[in-house]
Amino acid sequence: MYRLLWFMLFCIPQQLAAQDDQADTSVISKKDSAFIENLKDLTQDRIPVLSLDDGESDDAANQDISSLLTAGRNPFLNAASFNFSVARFKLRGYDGDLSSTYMNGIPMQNLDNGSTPYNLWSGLNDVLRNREMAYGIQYLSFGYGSIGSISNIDTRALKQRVQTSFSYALSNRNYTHRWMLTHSSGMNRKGWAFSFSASRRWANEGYVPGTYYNGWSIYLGIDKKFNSRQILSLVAFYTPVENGRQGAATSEMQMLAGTHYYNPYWGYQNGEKRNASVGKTNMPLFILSDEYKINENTTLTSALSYTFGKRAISGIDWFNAPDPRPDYYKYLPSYQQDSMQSALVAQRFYNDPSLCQINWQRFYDVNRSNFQTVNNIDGIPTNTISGNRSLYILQDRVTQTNKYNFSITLNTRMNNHAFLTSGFHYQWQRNHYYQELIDLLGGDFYIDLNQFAEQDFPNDPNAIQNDLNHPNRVIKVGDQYGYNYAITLKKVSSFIEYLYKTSHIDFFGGAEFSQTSFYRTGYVRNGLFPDHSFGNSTVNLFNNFSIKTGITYKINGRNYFYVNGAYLTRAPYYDNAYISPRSRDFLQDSLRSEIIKTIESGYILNAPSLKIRLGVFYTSIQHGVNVLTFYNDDYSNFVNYAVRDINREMMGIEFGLDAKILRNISLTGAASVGSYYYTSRQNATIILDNSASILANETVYSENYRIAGTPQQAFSAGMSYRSPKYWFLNLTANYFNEMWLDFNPIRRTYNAIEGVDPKSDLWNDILAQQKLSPQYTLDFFGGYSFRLKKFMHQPKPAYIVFLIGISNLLNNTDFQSGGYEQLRFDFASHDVNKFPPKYYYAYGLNYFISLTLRF
Amino acid sequence: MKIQKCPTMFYVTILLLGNLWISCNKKFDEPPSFIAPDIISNYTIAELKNLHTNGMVELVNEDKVIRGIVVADDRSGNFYKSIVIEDSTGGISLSLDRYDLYTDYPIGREIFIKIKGLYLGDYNKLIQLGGGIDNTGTAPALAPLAATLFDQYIIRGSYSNEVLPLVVSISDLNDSYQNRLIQIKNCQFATSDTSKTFAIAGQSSPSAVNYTLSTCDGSKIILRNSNYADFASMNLPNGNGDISAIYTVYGTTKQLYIRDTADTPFYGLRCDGTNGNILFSQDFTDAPIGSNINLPGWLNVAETGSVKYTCANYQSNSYAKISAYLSGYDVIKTWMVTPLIDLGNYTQKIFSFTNADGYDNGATLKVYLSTDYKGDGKPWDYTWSLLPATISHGHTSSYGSFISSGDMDISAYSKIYIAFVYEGADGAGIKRTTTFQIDDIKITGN
Repeated sequence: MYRLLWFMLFCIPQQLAAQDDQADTSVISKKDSAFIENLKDLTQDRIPVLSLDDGESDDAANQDISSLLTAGRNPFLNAASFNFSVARFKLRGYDGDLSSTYMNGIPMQNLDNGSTPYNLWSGLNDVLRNREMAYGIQYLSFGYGSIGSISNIDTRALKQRVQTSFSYALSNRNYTHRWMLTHSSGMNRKGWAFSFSASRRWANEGYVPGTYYNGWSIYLGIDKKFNSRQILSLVAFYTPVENGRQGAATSEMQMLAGTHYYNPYWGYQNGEKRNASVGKTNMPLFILSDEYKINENTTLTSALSYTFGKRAISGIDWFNAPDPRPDYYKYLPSYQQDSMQSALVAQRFYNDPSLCQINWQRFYDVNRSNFQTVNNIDGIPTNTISGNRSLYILQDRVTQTNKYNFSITLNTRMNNHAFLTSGFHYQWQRNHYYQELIDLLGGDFYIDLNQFAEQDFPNDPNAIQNDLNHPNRVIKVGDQYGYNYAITLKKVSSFIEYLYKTSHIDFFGGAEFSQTSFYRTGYVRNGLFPDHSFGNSTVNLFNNFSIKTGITYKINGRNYFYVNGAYLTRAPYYDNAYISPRSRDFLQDSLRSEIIKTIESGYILNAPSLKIRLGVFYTSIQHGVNVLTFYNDDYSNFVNYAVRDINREMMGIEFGLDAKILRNISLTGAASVGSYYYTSRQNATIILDNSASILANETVYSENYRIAGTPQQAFSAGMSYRSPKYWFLNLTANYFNEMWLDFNPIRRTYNAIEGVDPKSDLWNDILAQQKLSPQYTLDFFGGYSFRLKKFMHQPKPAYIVFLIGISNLLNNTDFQSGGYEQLRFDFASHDVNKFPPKYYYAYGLNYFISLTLRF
Repeated sequence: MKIQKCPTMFYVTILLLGNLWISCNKKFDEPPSFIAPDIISNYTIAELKNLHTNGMVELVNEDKVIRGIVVADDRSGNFYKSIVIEDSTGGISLSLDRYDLYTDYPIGREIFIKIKGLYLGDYNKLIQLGGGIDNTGTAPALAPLAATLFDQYIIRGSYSNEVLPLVVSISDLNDSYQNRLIQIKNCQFATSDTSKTFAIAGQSSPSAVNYTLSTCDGSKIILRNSNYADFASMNLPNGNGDISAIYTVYGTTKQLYIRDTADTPFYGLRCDGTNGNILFSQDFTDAPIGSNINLPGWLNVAETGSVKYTCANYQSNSYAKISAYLSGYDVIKTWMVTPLIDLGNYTQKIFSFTNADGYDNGATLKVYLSTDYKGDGKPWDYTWSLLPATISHGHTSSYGSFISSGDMDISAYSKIYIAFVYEGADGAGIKRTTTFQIDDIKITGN
């Protein structure tokens, strides 16, 4: 009995750290989604973690991490989930938008970018333990799913383990301390079930200097069972988090700072570290679900969910002032043409580490000494304001979200062999994007002007207005300014799946139809695009469908062989459709849905002491579109790359092994060997953001470039020892190869190599895609539990569980886990080193130690 | 529920909640105000310039500190990657490789420079201090100081130190005045230039425009303005006044650079006695005498009561006149509105007119300005601002002489309408039938 309990507690693979990586402030993020911290948090508790997109990361550097846990059933997923996440492994090379997550019957993905909003339930691992995991093409009883990883989490109160648990954990990753308290009552005789969980995670400083973490999480679940047929459930999540973030950096900057974990976002203010890029999330989630057993064979699940709130990331904004970023390329030794001054500059960086960081004092000095009188406030000529006009301010880039979801899912067992699932989803989401001034940094006021337009249109006073309806508006703390628009999205879908089982064959088929629409609403009339910025844009409508089918041949109870396939179309995301939604409603030319075809096949062995999974897959995604934006200070302007005709192919072999070789010792192994390529020549239109004038229409010679952001080869081998005395050890070695850097599409055009000798080194330097060095890591995981015979007069036994996980045991701090080429390229000199790539590094030795009391 | 029975849970919850105080948002203390350092200089700018031979670029080896006050910064864009400092012995330009230098080194800031390790050069005989040697051209030139090295050489001092410009005549100017703030009295632009703008915004080559300034004794000097200055599109002032500027040389040519348009307040009468640019004027000589004023573009309309402005003439002078006398209406309100006036891009715009009253018994004349009137004949539907015109009054039994309304500053506006609004009454009750006369409406720009 105790063994069973103990086994349940420990048969979970070890955890690993994922990276907290945020992109450079010079690159505008097009995706607005969850932070990686949530991901890490889940892995720390050995909770399955799914692919996701990092918020604010450069489009070219999707920090996707795909890790899956199936409670011991799928040895490939077990290893892939935790062991591979340090290298930012993406399952099958898919982006996070090919995963799907369902909670209590509701599909949770954001409509704006398809990613799963992990931040809505971060820090509440105790109540996320009831999950079904799958990946690939399958018959699912809770929804239609997508083709990547699929997760169904049942967070209802009655499904929570009936116990009280309290834990404390110590770590050195994103946060240092964590308390968690959970209590679930189970279903009582009157038909009520309650569950409550709360946690607190914080760090004054995380692994990376200048980062900090401050998170609270609360969960409440209430169920009422009406009769033997119907259960009504309500769950509420609230997980406000504030954290100081980290940015990637060039090799030069990391060398000047003396560490791979250089963080350009912080600086000292009054002796304390102040981070300019602080993320704040405040989004409660409510799900009301009803499970109704129509009869013994049929269940109808309906659910309604609502989430609202804000996510914000702060940053420094400036007007007519020198760039405040410490790693701005013009401040670095590499920019100096004079070698003597270049050496002096480098020397200064080495001698004065504060030069690598933000100089907050200077912002206050500049703002306090800039007394100005500004005329024509609000467009009234005699309206003036005098005072210290801030040239540097701290802003929040806010996304305010409202999201409603309504779903119905019907499960029927038609007879002993046939099963049917069908359903309907209605999803509505509105994201309101705006900037908010949060700190005047010593000044008295700020004026709402577009500094990037001033240089291009010196004679047009309207061009620099962000809001023509209120020109020259005075901005104080708490005021909205700059861009101000909303995207409203709607997706309606219905699906049906059918499964037929015999003793030797399982066959399934399914189809889904959906309609996705979105439009932009501008709340300010932009001076550069007065006729295309204010009010509602036209509605973009896409009709999509998906069909899937598969057959599994059960050779006997232990050996299976399967073939599955799917064909689907997918609507583009709004931020790849609108070229620059911040200022106007212009769309990419010829918008269309992507076409995705995928097929997989494999073999499964499921014996008591040997589990093997061996599979192959092939996926093609065609007609993708993308919009990339970056700041080019030659134009003093943002530049947009609108890219289309993006075709990708991913294929590979997946292998997993779990073998019990001795009574207490087992071996695990996993391998993912794939090749993920871009298979088309893409087409790009380069647009100057300020005027929407087209600078060029170029062919991007992108064929056969590798998909970046994941090791295309990942291997792991591990050994576990489980002692009958209730302790265990696990040691795993991992090896990663074929990690490629995301490439700048505009550097693979005719213009980029014009005039360069094809046989020269420069030609190769410009065109080649950089491959990161292969890496290996060693991870340790161990634990001990003991039972308290008497605990506070409780009838049930109490357990204390001690767990320790150490990742990257060999403290490999040279592990380049990802990065991206800068989107800026100097066409005049063709010098690739002028704007070199930026890199992320995996943490060195990091640990997570927890002590839990359960009773 | 078990929680109620379990005191441990209670304690634990308290512990959890007790972490609240750690959690609150960090509110950062504002850093202290800038405190000027206590440094004494031990070298002068004149001594520094003496180290230089024109045409060469020299490394400064003297381990000394100079002190200067910033007299020109790059705020307006007329100066580019340079600032000019001055002490009691002379001035020098600093070549600094960054934009928006005014944020750290605004006009009036005292700065100290550790000169050892810096380089002296000249730009066609104009001496500058910089950071290195640029060997990429045909001859060695001065390279600007890298932005990251500013704080290594330049120590920032107190703000708002005033430097009074040295009053000189053009013939006085010689190299000792290089990069000093000087003032030349009674300057004006050539008449043919007065319709032009300070520079040509948006033109990159040539990148600046030269104008010749003359004083009333006939001496001339060049004023050079960059196309990148934010005042490039402003109209040149047409009158005469004292210029404050930085004196520079280009080879043997003397050149002045202004910091911004406040340096050229040419609002006085020119050397030949004529006035500044007249943007708008009306003296009613073209209006038919005795009829309602019906000049092209003008509006003459009664909001209530049916009285209108007419043109009258006395001793060969025509003027506009209005009176409620003998009209018979209870409430009289009449508008005379100018056509749309485009004030152009001048620094200073002044509006004035002359007026007189007669048989004053309480009617009023008021003068208004509007920027949103659309010329549709219904001025009362729009917003008008009252102008502070001095209106003649009090002549109860005769006519007064014409007086000036005073100079009204309308520099903030660019396109306006002006309205003269008369309000009176000639009904059975109160009578307010004052006669008002209006003449010499004038708007000048500089």
